[in-house]
Amino acid sequence: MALNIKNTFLKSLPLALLVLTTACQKVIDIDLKDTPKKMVIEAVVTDIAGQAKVLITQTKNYNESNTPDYLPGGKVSISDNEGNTVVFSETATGRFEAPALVGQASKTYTLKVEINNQTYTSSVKMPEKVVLDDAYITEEFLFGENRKMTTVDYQDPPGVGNFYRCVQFINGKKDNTIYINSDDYTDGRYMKDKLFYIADEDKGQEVIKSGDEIKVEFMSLEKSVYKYWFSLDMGATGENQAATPANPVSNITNGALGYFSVHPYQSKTFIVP
Amino acid sequence: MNRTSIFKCLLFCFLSILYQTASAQAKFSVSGTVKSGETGETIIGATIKVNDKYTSSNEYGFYSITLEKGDYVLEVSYVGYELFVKNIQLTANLSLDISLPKKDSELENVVITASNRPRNVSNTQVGVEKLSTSAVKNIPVLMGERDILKVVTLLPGVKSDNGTNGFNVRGGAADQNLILLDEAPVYNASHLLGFFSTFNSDAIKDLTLYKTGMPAQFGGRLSSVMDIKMNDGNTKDYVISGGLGLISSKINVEGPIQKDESSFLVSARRTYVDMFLKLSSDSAINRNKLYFYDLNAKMNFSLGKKDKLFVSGYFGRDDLGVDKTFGLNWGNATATLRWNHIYNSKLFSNTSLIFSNYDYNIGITSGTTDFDIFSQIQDWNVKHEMQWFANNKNNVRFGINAIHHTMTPGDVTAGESSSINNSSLQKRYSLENAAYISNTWKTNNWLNITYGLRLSNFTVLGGGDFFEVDGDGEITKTTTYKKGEKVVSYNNLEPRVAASFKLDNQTSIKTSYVRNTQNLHLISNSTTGSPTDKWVASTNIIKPEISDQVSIGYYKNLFNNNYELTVESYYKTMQNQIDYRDGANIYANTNAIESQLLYGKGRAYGLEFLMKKNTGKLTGWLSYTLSKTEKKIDGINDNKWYDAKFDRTHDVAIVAMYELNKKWSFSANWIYQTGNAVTFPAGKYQIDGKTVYYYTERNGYRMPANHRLDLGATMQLKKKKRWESELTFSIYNAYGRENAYVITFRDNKDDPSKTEAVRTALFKFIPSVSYNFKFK
Repeated sequence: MALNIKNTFLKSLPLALLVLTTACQKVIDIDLKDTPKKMVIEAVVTDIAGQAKVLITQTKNYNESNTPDYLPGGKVSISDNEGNTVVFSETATGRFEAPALVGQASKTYTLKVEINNQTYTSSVKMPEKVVLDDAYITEEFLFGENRKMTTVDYQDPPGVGNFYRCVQFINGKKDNTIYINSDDYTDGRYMKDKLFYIADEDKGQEVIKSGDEIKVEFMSLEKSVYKYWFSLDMGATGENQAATPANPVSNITNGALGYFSVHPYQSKTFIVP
Repeated sequence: MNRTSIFKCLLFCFLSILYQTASAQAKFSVSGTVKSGETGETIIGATIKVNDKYTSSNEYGFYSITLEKGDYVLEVSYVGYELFVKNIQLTANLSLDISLPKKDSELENVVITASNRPRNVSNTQVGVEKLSTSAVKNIPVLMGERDILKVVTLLPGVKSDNGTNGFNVRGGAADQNLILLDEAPVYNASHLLGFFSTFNSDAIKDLTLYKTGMPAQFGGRLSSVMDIKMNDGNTKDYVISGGLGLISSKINVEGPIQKDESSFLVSARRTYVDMFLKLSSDSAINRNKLYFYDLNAKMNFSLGKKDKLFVSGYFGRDDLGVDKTFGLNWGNATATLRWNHIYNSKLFSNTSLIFSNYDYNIGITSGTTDFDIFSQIQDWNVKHEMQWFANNKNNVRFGINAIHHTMTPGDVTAGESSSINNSSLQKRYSLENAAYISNTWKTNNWLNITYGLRLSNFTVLGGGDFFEVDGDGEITKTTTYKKGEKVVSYNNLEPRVAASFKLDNQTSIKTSYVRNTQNLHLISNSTTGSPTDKWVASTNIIKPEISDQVSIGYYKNLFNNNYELTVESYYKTMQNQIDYRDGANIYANTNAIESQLLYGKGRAYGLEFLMKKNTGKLTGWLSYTLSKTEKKIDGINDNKWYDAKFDRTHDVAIVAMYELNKKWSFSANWIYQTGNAVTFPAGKYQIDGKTVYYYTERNGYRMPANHRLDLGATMQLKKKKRWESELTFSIYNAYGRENAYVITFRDNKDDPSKTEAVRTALFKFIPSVSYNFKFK
């Protein structure tokens, strides 16, 4: 995650100074205006049966709880470029599934969501699978400690335009750090990507210790999906100072927030030695 | 007015000067250089007065005044110096170098800008601030680092935030300030992310900030010109001075090379913040690297009576590292070679060859991620200027300037075991040319006018690929140019006009109009600014930025000239402003930076008050600015106007210095500023189990207001014949106000269903002490 390391570093530049000065942090009350609700669609199809799902929610006000506000009554379907259409069924309010839908590399899939007399669409071509060779722990001396971090190995195929995302679970708990990478600077190389995890106690994160169970999910993304995650990480996490806050660049039409991704999925689980 | 009529008008004006000069009856000039009697330093801006005629010494201390044959009394005055009076008999052109005696130094140490003379309210300059290092040396500062640039931000219309790079003048962005150190542009004037400036006060003579009405010899930036002159070096005695401070030490050596003729100066400063880090028992801190250093050097030689040669240079660097994993260093280097030539008592010329460099290097070493990214901007700059002291009424300046820019946007060099590929973005080349002429015309006793014109040309040169992009930022066409081939050329005419109307000896009204253009743009995506922000030149797509500013001001000297009141108002428009697209990847490995950019316009207006007291035991000033700065960029904020990040409605600064006795002096400053305009969430939602924030308006909220009190005290230690020393104490943020540096949002640790806002504050109550000495 070369560039992400760089971004992380540059993001933390002012923070590095904070550490060295008498910076102090305090939780404060802040009064934010309420705004009209906005549609959020999160749609994922993978190469594994049972993983296709679509979530339709809407935004909430700042002072409301974080639990998703699911919207009922949507109609969801996904069709491929060979004319096959799969209609999703609503298994719970705002949650849609199509257990038999399996994404195939190089096929283009089009999502269609109809709700409240509005139609939202998005098209994504599923990238070729890049094999996750291995995932294991390495140590990095950083900010005064040897920190255990997960490294993932894979061979980036020749030709610029490969994008990756990893999700890490520590003892079954999802680590909310966004791990994405592009081969912009590493085209065709054998990658040993380190998932730069710096546990922040204030966010309830715990360091990785011996005996922990780590699960890493590994996905190859289409460009528009990578751009979504990249822009989310830069501008919409509420924390990053590296860019002016802004909504992530969505690949769904009609002004919806969220994204549609079709990607090959792999995972590996191991115990930290 | 169209271009032709501007030209015609100017031509007429200059022809009439020629006529006036030619038709003048037996007139002679007295000319020479004004110097300090103590150190031999040339004095910039000294007032030379004969009867009711006056002039001032130029940036090299040179003056010229033309009079009819006769007997006169010539008076020369400058802040902090005794009045110089001499009877002259003018029967031929007279060359007269003036050595101004320093005021009694015991007193002078504290009565900072004591001047016998009232401020001259009749010059045409609007929106200009002049500061000399000695005048501001007692103002308290962060960690005891005297910093003239920080003092500038206490003046109306100038704004800066600690922890952010650069400063803003009258609603301009940080890159819209032309910062010149001995004529060489300095691309990043910040150390340690903006907490300190690159200007080591020991080496600086004075600073002039033009907020508007910049004379025609300056150009290339939209908002301001900060013209900083280094000391020339003492031509009389060898002097070693220095200081030991909490975070830095410095030393300054100067002296004559040939007495009264030539001199040298070397000044060095090194901070050692990281040495303190090493003392920390916390290993998260003590293995980090954090320091900067500066080196200033200057030499000047007299080559006979009519020629003078100056060589000056600056080199400074910041080095920051976190363990062995991350490293970032950046810095400026400048070098200036100048040659002054006095053709005759009326014609003065200066020719400069200038080199400027800014670069940064990011190094990352972590397993197979091992690489350096290097980025640079480098200039070669030639300037030739003539000053023609045509007659008593007209002072003409004209010149030409050519700069060659080479920009290296990013070279990636990978380590041996790295999985990163070596790569280089295309270097960009350009030529920035200008020709200018201006005249200061004293029409009569109450009306002075300065008018001028600057013609600027910017030519983008190949080789490399240039692009066309569509509305979504996708490349639609690529054209390859050969090395040195012209890609595109922009010409702009920049009129500069200023006038002053003297109402009485204490009062005047001034007005000005100025157009500026800018072809080098700093593209910053971050909310705080970073040394790694990208400089890009205009291209076929990126158009020159253009600003037009009108100003009007009221100037009055009050209470026996003990107080100076200045009230100024301005309105400024800015075209072809640049911002990043949402979600732009500023480090993308692409030559087409244009694919990441959006364009729009800006406007700024405001009202500035300044009340200054320059005499007596208590000196200082009170400044207040009421202002508004807005932007409208296609593709941001639904194409509607929004407040610029640095829009600041209210800005108050009070600076007070009090001399208790010869031993003790005290100082204090207090500031109050409206918080920055920021974008806060309009709502939130969940994506893949993570809280994501929803944004509507750009910069629709405000950070809390900043206010802060700083205190300082200086104690003169016992003076010996060749040895002087003092202790200075300061407290930054004396009442410990927690000014918000950033406000971030996160899920509550104990109840993740709740969101909380976190305020981070810097620098609560920082005391410091430093020791300064001087040895002759």
